[in-house]
Amino acid sequence: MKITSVLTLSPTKVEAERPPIIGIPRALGYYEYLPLWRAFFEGLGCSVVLSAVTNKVILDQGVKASVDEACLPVKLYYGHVKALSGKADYVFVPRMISVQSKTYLCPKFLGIPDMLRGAAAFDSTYPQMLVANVNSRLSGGGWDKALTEAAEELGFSRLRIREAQKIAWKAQKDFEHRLIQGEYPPSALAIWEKSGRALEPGGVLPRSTKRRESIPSGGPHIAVMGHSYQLFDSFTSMNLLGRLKAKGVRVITPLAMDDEKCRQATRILPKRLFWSFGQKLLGSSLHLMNEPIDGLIYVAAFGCGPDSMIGEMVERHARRLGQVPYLLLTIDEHTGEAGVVTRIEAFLDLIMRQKEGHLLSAKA
Amino acid sequence: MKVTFPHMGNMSIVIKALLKELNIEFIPPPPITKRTLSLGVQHAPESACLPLKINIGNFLEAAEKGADTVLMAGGIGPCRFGYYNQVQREILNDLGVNLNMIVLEPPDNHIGELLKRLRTLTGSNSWWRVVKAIRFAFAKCEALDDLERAASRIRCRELQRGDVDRVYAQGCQAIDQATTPKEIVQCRDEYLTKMRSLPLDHLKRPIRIGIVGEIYTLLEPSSNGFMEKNLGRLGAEVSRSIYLSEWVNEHLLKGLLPVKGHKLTRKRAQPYLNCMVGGHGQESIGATIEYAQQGYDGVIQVGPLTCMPEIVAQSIMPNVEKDFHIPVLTIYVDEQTGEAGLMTRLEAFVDMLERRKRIQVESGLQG
Ligand code: SF4
Ligand code: SF4
Repeated sequence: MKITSVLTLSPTKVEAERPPIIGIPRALGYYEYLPLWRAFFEGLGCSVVLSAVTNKVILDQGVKASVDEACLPVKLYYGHVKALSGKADYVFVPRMISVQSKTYLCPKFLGIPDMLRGAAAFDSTYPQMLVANVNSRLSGGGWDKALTEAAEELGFSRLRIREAQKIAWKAQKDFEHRLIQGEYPPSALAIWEKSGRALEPGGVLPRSTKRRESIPSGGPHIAVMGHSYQLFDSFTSMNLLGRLKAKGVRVITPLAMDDEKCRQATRILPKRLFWSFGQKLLGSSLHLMNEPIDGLIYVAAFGCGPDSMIGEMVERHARRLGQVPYLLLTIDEHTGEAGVVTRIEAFLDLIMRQKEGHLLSAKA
Repeated sequence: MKVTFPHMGNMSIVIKALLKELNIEFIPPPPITKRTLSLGVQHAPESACLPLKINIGNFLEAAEKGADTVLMAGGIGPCRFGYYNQVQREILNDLGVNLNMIVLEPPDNHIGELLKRLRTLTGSNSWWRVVKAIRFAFAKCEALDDLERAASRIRCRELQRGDVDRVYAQGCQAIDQATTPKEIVQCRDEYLTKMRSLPLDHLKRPIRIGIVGEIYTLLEPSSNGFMEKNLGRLGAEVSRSIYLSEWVNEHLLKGLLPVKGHKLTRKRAQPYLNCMVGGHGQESIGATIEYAQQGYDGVIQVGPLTCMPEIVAQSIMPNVEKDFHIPVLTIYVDEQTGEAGLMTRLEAFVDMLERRKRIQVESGLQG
């Protein structure tokens, strides 16, 4: 019996003189790890290409290649990988099992490289994939090991890899620092998204020349919760952040929250949550609902397992506290934009009314 | 303390045996009915997977009868199941239903945590006694599985519709009543013989279907529209990738007992799915391969709607279907799934497999 169909895709070394071009799909882990990945591969001397911002073609490709029941972010991932075919020698598809000790990502993250290989077995136009396991549950099994594995597949030496890792971590730490400082995540990411090389091999990090997005003051302050690929892909969030910004809303997302605060906030729960980003979502939400914010929006992916559990916890706690208006937006590829817009507007109205009410009662 | 637990197939008979041996008072949840499901649906998050909802229904109905403690399994990821009890706790809390939860799961830091949790349950029983009770309960579990396996195999041959299920139900009841290990074995043998001596069509050459998928929908007939029974009545011999005793041993007892596990099944999945994905995703792939290798005519994959591990497996299934030439039908169930709608799909699948088999036989591919 022939079972080689899915196994024959492991990368073979690129023969050419030039270092390989690495494709990075603009989906899933991208919104949190792009600086690490990009700086690493460029640090090795590779060129990096990113898939385009999510568009109709990418969506259609993704929907076609995946099963109906998959969540939208996973469908989009298929589309983004496919969009890189012909543009890169390899597409970097990390298998993110765990990025923090004793935690996991959701089952689909664990399975996605195999799901893609499965699809590629039926469709020869898929790009070659560079798969590496990220498993921080094992000692020494985190990103360093995964990146090393990937680079060794490409034929790079240990020494070179170590150098590139140093650069990569510096980039990643800088990025994370900016997020915690409250920089608007899309702008913190933007320097890593520009086409062309983000850094010369061994060179220093680019400093952002852009001024900080000035945060409007006075407008309502809203916590927007959800997986990063859900919030920052303006397609899966129906451009929620842009819309809020346009209305002068100050937004805080889980990316701006440090792990310690999240841990503190979830102390009240009897059991630790084993999804790392889920823990951050739940922790940020619980923390923020005790802060002076005016509302909390949870953006869930339709059919998402973790969101179904975390969203419920957040909603129940918010309701019990009873002071923070809560809005749950569940989105998939069939969600109508008009409906979402209406709900956001109604929510903002509610918040404004409440704010005015508070002001009045404060004056009285 | 009045202990209750969630239903899952014949699990209630097994847990009852365990608790009785330990002299712990218990109140089993009433059998799953429409009301159970609608209670669950009403109070559980809409987007939760089906088992969580039915669990909630079980707990509420048991609480109505006076239960004050829930005994259930847990987990530490990566799937939702490991977080079920937390969400359920919050739901019950908001409803003002006071149920203490004892969750069997690997401890976070120290084995002592688990032992302490168990102690609240076992009270003054000695560990020896606990071990004995577990063995007794497990013996029931295995006997029930044997009956269930036999029933699914021969249901398609019954000449009088309902015969097999009647004997099977009697057998389960007899095992439930059994008070000694010896009696359990006797009951099992007695009812296996009874089943075999029913008027059966021994000449029939039925198509064979393997069922794989998510554990709850595999084990709890009311959650899968009584799929095994209906397939049998449609004329198919049925086998299932996981039986209760295997799950109990692998998941709850961590493989302590010398029972066949699914290590090999998972290994077979590796060329396709090279990583555990929680739930039974890898087993679904591996078992499909095994069924194909054993010459089964088709496989049905079943799971709750939005079940993450099964979505991963489903995504890869076409590759297994192609490489091993076995048709696979994926069925997701939720609270809106009706038995009638499912029946239509099963019928179409059985028809297709029968046609396929006829063609194969005629063209001499298979003797
Ligand atoms: S966490 Fe949710 S949205 Fe993300 S991949 Fe898993 S199921 Fe999909
Ligand atoms: S395996 Fe499926 S049904 Fe079970 S918890 Fe996970 S998603 Fe829900």
